Amino acid sequence: MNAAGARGTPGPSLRGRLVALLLAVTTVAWGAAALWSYYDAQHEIGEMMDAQLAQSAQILLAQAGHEIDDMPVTEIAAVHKYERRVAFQIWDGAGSRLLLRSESAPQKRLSPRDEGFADRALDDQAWRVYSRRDTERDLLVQVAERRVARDELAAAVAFHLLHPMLVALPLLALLIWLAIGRGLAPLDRLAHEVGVRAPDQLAPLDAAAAPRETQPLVSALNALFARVRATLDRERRFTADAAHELRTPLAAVKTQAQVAQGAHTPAERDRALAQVVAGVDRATRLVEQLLTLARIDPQERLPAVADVELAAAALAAVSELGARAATKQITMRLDAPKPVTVRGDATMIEVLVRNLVDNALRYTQDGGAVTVRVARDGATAVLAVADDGPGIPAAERGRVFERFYRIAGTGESGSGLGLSIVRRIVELHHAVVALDDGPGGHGLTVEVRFVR
Amino acid sequence: MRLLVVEDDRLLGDGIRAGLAQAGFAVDWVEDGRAAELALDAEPYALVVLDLGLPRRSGLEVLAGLRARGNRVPVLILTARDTVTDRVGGLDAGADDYLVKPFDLAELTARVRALVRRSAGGADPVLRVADVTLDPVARAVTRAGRSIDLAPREFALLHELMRHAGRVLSRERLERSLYPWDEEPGSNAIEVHVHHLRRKLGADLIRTRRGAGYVIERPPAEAPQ
Repeated sequence: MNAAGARGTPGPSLRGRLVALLLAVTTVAWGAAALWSYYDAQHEIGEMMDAQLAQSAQILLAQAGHEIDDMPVTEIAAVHKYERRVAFQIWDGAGSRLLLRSESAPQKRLSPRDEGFADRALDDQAWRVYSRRDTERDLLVQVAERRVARDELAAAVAFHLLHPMLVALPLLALLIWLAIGRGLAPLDRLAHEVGVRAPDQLAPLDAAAAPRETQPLVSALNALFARVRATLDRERRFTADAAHELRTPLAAVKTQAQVAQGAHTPAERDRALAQVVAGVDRATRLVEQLLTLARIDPQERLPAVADVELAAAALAAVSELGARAATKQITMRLDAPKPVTVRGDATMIEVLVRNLVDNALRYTQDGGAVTVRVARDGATAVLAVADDGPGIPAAERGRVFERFYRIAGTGESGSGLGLSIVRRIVELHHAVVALDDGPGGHGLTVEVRFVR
Repeated sequence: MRLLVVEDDRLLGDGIRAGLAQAGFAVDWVEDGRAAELALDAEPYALVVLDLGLPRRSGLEVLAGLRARGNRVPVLILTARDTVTDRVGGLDAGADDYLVKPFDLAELTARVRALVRRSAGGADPVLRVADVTLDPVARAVTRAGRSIDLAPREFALLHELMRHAGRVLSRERLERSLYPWDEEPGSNAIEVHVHHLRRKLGADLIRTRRGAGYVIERPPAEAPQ
């Protein structure tokens, strides 16, 4: 069942194929039987006609006897149309003088032999000749019959066998067609059962009720249904979460905009409008993070794998976020002395580094320090982002990777998705991520280890 | 009238505080459940605007604790979840009203006013004492049919006294109703506002009780609201 079969011209019909195959097999078997009958008939007819020839020679000898001794060469005129197919000659004992012959017989000897059967070609025609000598009366009788007579008879026998087939074949085709239709009915029922389903109707098909031949198809379909259902559930939950998470920033924007509308002083209005802008920025970031997560979350493997330079990705993130660090007077340091290459998706690795650095800047107080380190530890590539901010209590470290989980009282309005994105990218790269205290026991270090 | 806003989202909390302040309320804003409980124990709020998704202690926990302690202050909950279960859960836990985010600021202030009015036992939005009327929505005051122009704080003070007509309110109580934490009243602010109100409305309306505070007496003919 390929895509082309689903719409447009359907693929070859199973029923048509089966009918054609069965008809071909039947025809071949029947044909073989007819051929066998033909050869068999030919043999039997040969025996029978040989016996007839021998008998005819006997009768001819007995009849000929005395009268023909002094007769001139006589021709016996043909009486029946089939007589053109039989011939006889009566010669003297030495076989040198032709005494009597049928109209169909030639002037010269039918067979050079004096006794027994011979196959001869006379005037381009095949003849079966029987010769018999009567030594007492000194006569040689030769009786011949054209072979074509036997062949025609054998062919007629075979043809009579083939004859009913001409009638039977169309009837057989119809019956096979109907029978296959009945045989394939469970398949139609299965197709109907799948066909009438609503898109969200994803309960597994009853495997026990399906015919054995369709079990692989039914199991494959059920596995597909299960996967689709899981995906659908995840998307629904995600959409609900996303809608819920967007309500608060939208409420903030709307409220601040209405505060601006009702402002009594220009200063009050300007302040509210600045909050509107901040709110829109936050909602935008939330939407971006949602889209990033929505894009990478359903993927089961990396779309494109290439050599990615980790130090370069770190440098890009540090440069991009440098302005943000400057406004908070945060000292940002990049410790990447040597290029370190990992196998992965370049875009995702950039997102990963940017999210980690962004998080560090977000939760580090003004005047703090953030260090990004890229190094190789044996076969493992290590990316570590450390800050001297408030850190994450050990009890909460497991939960911060959950979607929309925010640590209470940080005063920061992050999307709650940054670390979820990080975790997903790490999973896709078969890497591991660990949270630890920052340098000197305070703050936070996020370490991602890419195992080769 | 002093309100407490409990909202952990900074932009939204700030917006609600500013919006309600524009409507003439004195607003305190806290960002988590624990701080909300401390504030509720300390101050005489006329109403609480409570977000349900709070850090440290959820809005529903704060609400349940409040009602368990016998505090009957009107509570309006804000929720981002608009399923029936969420709304019913909030109302069943003792909330008086709810709004689903994002909401309209005008609707929020209208609901706040309605809840405050109902908790004072009045259905008529316009307050009347003798020949003085006060319309909290239009923010208009008349005496004997004549419109009186008042400054916002004077209006708030008159509103508070008329809402509790017949009850003596101390100077400290009035200060706490009119000024949120982030606004420190001058040492004689209430005296100054009372002085202005007497000049605009006539000296007979607001009475001073030595050592006790101020009161607007209800005429004997009027049934208490």
